[in-house]
Amino acid sequence: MERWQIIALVIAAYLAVTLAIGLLSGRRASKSVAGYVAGDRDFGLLVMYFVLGASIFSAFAFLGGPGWAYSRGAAAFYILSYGVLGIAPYFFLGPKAAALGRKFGYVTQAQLICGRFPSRGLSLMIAVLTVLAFIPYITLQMRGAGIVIEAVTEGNVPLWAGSLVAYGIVLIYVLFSGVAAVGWTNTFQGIFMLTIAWTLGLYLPISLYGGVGDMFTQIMAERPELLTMPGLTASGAPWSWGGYSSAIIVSAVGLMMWPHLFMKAFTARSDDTLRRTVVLFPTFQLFLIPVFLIGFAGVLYPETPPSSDFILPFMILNAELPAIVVGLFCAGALSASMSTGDSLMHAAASVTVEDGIKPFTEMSDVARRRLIQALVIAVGALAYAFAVAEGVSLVVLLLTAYGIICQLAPPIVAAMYWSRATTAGVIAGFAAGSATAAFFFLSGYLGNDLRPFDLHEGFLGLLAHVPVLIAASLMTQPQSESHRKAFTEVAA
Amino acid sequence: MITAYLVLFLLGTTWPGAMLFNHVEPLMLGLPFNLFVLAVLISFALVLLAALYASEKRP
Repeated sequence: MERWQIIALVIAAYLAVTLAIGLLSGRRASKSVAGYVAGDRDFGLLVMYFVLGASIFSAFAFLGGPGWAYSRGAAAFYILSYGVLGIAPYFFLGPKAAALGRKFGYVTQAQLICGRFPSRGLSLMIAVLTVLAFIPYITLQMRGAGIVIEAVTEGNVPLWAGSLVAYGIVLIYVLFSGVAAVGWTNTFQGIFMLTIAWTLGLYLPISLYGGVGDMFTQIMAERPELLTMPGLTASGAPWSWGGYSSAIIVSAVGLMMWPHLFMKAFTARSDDTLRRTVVLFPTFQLFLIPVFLIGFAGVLYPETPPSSDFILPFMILNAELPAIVVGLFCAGALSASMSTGDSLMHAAASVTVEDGIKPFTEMSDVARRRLIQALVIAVGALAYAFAVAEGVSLVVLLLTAYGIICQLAPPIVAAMYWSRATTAGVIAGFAAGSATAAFFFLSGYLGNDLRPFDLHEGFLGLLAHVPVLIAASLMTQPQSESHRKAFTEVAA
Repeated sequence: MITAYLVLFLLGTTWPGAMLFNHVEPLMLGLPFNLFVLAVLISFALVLLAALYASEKRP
């Protein structure tokens, strides 16, 4: 048997285990929408921990992280920095959102916002923007899976087939088991990824350079510009502090506002589970360090991969490891892609139905569940079409997606903590923030970059969003006392 | 306490705070000094969050 065939067999075995876990986990969940979207609010600590952890260890961290360390050096450190800042507020926000979810039956974050600020238009606007932000994200995860499979099978399984098989499996378990499958497969995949990141992150520097310290000493001697923040841009020029700093802020604000993460507040069994998950989350940031080491190990390697995103599979293939070990490593990289992709597809479909369609027509619980399942297929097919078509602009779109998503933060905070906020204020702020972010994104995209100090357009959007929200709220009639208190004074 | 630390963390990881420890030498545990400082900042956040959790458990 040829080497690539052994590798393919190991990957196939791994995919089979994932599918089995995904299908088995759904048998216990109820057939309602709350069961399908919020897992009957019954996720324990272990599952919650890995669901959140998988969000950090997406294809972006597992392929993009080493790629950044390899080509942009210390610029990659921003990925380490934003996690703690992003998750800590969730210690307070999460349990409060969960309490409101139990009280009013919410399963998505737009329902929470529009519960406090009743407006079907706002609900639709949030649904459309989140789905727009989701598509490039899902596409990147699919491409990531395809890239890994194509690279390690020496092109015998092309990108389109690799993506199709990996995501066909994701589709099956998401359709049958809903969020329960997402939770349990993420747990399995999370354990798998961590083992692999540490093994490889320590093995490569030691085998190639004699040790982690020796590796950095040699990089310092030959490429010192890679080791000081803010590192380099994609084209190799020095990155600006404005760009680096605002990337941290936008990512921190946006992190928990991604609907697939925020909605998990509604899946936790108890507030205690949510809080403990937040406390443990920074450990995942520390687990990223070996991932960076993999990328740095490639810096002084004599050969170069076809593109920096290929650095992980490239280093694995060139490390002269037994075929079975290579297969396991690749399964780990696939885990990273699939564990994020399943969450995304599930959330995109749930948001479309719950926030984009349900406010406008009466539908039974069964019909909604069916429609969500149909949309999971539609979203998957659309993202797959983008994934197999060549598209460089997708990475650009993903960065913009963060700019859109972080505009969800002010309405969420206002809904739960600021009693004077009004519906008009929230709509005006949201519109102003999104428009500002879109304007600066387009200005850069059309070649005439107007952003001051190289700041991220999402950050500029927030600078417009918050003052408009406050001003417009103060100028309009306050909401009734009882309505406000139901939200701001709910015991978290 | 945790809020104060988060503000400190933000200032420490972005401009201009991050320029204070932005050098490679000395290597700590084999890591460049700036990467090591980030890891320490994250670990300390972990300890603080755990302390906050413990203090809320005992009313």
